[in-house]
Amino acid sequence: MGTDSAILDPVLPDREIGGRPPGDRSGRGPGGGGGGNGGSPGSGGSASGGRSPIAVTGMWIALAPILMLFLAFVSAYIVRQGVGTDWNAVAMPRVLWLNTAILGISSLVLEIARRQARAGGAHRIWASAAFLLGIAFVVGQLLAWRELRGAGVSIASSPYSSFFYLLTGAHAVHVAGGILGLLAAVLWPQVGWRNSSPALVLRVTAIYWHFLGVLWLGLFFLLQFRR
Amino acid sequence: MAVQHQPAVHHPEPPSSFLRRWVFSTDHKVIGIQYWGLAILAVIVGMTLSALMRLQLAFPTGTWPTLAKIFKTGFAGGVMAPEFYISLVTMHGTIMVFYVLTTAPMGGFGNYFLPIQLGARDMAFPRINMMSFWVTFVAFLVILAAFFVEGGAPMGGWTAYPPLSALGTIAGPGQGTGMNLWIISIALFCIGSLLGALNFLATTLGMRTQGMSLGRMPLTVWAWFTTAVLALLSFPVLMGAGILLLLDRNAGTSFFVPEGLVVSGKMIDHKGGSPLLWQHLFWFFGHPEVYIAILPGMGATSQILSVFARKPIFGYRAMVGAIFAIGLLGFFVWGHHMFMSGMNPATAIAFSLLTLTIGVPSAMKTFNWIGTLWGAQIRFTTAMLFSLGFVSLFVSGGVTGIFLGQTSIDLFLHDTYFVVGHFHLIMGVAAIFGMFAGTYYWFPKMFGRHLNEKIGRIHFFLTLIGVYCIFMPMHAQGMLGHPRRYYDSTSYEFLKPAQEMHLFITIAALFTITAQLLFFINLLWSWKKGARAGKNPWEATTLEWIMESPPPFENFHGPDPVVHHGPYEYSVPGAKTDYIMQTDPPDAAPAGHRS
Repeated sequence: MGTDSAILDPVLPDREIGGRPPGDRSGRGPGGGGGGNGGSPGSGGSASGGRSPIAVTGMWIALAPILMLFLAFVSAYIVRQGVGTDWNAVAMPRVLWLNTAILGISSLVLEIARRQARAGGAHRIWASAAFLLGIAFVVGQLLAWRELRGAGVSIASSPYSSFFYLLTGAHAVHVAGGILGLLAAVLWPQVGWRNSSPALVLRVTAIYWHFLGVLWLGLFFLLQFRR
Repeated sequence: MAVQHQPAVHHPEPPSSFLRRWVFSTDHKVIGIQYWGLAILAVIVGMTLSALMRLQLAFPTGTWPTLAKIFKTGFAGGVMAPEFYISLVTMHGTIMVFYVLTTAPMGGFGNYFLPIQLGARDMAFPRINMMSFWVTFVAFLVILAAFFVEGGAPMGGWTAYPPLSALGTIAGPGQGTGMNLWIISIALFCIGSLLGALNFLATTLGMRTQGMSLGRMPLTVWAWFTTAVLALLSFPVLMGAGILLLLDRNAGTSFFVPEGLVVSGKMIDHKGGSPLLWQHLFWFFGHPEVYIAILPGMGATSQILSVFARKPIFGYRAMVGAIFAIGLLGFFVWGHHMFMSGMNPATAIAFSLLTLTIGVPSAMKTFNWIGTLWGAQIRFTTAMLFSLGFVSLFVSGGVTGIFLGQTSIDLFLHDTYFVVGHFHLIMGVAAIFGMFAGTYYWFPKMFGRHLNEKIGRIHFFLTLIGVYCIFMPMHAQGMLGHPRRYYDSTSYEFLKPAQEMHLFITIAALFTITAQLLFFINLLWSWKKGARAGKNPWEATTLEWIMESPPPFENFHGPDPVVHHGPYEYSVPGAKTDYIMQTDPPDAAPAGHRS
């Protein structure tokens, strides 16, 4: 999904970030570990005036269209469920419960990584763990797909199976975007952006990742209990 | 003893390579011009398609041997094929709505002027901004490619209603590969627009210079901001619908295709889907899209009317409120496109009432524009004329919206030429007039030279007369009951009276298209030879007029500008000049004046 690139490009050369002094509107704390406030002299001073880095603002904004996309899918799900007599819900692969747990744990681990990075601690090991858990989640989703296909359930079998593949697939694509963000934090500074920091990347990725976690809970609930 | 470090003076340099400077540029000004150029390219294509359609409508039995050489299947034997006509309708609508009405006002002028008017040196995410343009550009190439694939361009109209859009070539030659390309192009366009909207919002929220409070933002910025909110919330829904349609076409799912459907004598294999589901999803996007096209024009018009009336805009806060109200209401009226779909009459009444409510903020805007003009010493520049034209077209096209918003009248007028006349006036031509106004107003800043005003005025009057001659008679045709998208009205007895009007409209259309040559010649000539523009040729107040034309790389020399005044400080009593620029020192306005 296109909005994932907010992860890939969260921080900019100094001229874009280079602080804009005006009033503090965000109410959020100073940027994580000074990330993104490498304002060069002459471009308006520093961005440490208590305002969130613009990448954080951008990430929050980027959640809105992702939410709208899934709301469109979910409303289609509910409408389609109500027409026709061919809904034919199938039993969901049980590995999804495990996957859900993995995604939840990954959020916790990433949260630790984010706080470690902000405090200048050992964020890399935690970010690596979150990265691996993210991979494990996607692999788990693929296993679920394989199990369904093995049972002869394809995307065209029934409306329920269509939505199952659609929702899990679209969610996994978004998770993949988050995994790239985590990868950047792990491989820092070999992979990264000027005037940014692992702290900022983790901060932005965490917003995205927690959102995807909550989104997954909603989708899981829908597929499991609103069959 | 502490040593005081003086900050080094920052002299930003643009990238030296041609590719990075002008092609894959992250400079919002270059990207703005790229979007604007893309829209001009697209409008030429879209206009050519409409000329072909008009030829067919005026001369349904005509033969065109020359055109047969260019369009071998579309004009086989010199006669336009009905399928080709429907493809033209589809492609004209798609290209105009997405690649002209959405790209120029938002991507073009918005990219160029939103950061400058806020006092920012670039968008919040310049690389995402670059990506936004190039994704849109690729989307445009994909839609053009639909002309050249087997079966030709899609035939589903710009709304691509299933089931016919979901079935492949059994529903028509263009519904095969052409339709797939249509969906892919629109999905790419959605991504590009979302990336753009993200930048507009983040920049407005987080990149305003010192003193640029929300209440000091020009109405252009408010309009782009609201447009970006609409885009951010509506394009994902279209994209989701497009993905579902693509799956229905290529993966055997049945989201939109009902059971037991027989097309071209063949039973369709799908089961149980709902074509109405597409309509709901599409119009949830489609109605806000109308405002995505028109709101930037409203912003530009507000700006330009104030500048050339030399008066503050009448009711600034009311104008901001009206923009938001129109944007908000735009999300709750999609059902008025579906009165004919068999919806519950109570639902229809609700949609109808909400639709008519939009008349309130729209009228507020109109009265405030008139209030701005009231008693003013108007400078009739070309930009001003086009803005006045915008107001005229907005009223003409808006009033017919009140007709169509009522369920009982819509049942008769639905899908007739009345609708075609209505939406062309308000969404098509009014928005285009907004773009013309913007072009004549900002061209000196963008290219450092003035457009020729004499040619501009002639261009305005010919275009204004032309578009009214095209679209007013369509209302009469619609009241006759003339359905849209018909290839040949002479085959129906009840449409015979409409045929002469078709001829008249075609003459007016060809006349108007020819008049646009003046504009293109003016652009090319003025780009190289136009009179040099100074910093502030219109004596305007907003930030884009404080630096030379065109603005330097990163917009501002030295430190960031500091804003002390509102955007519409014209003819302030007691001030030395009849305008106070936003960056003028606080004492430029007499004591007691609030700005």
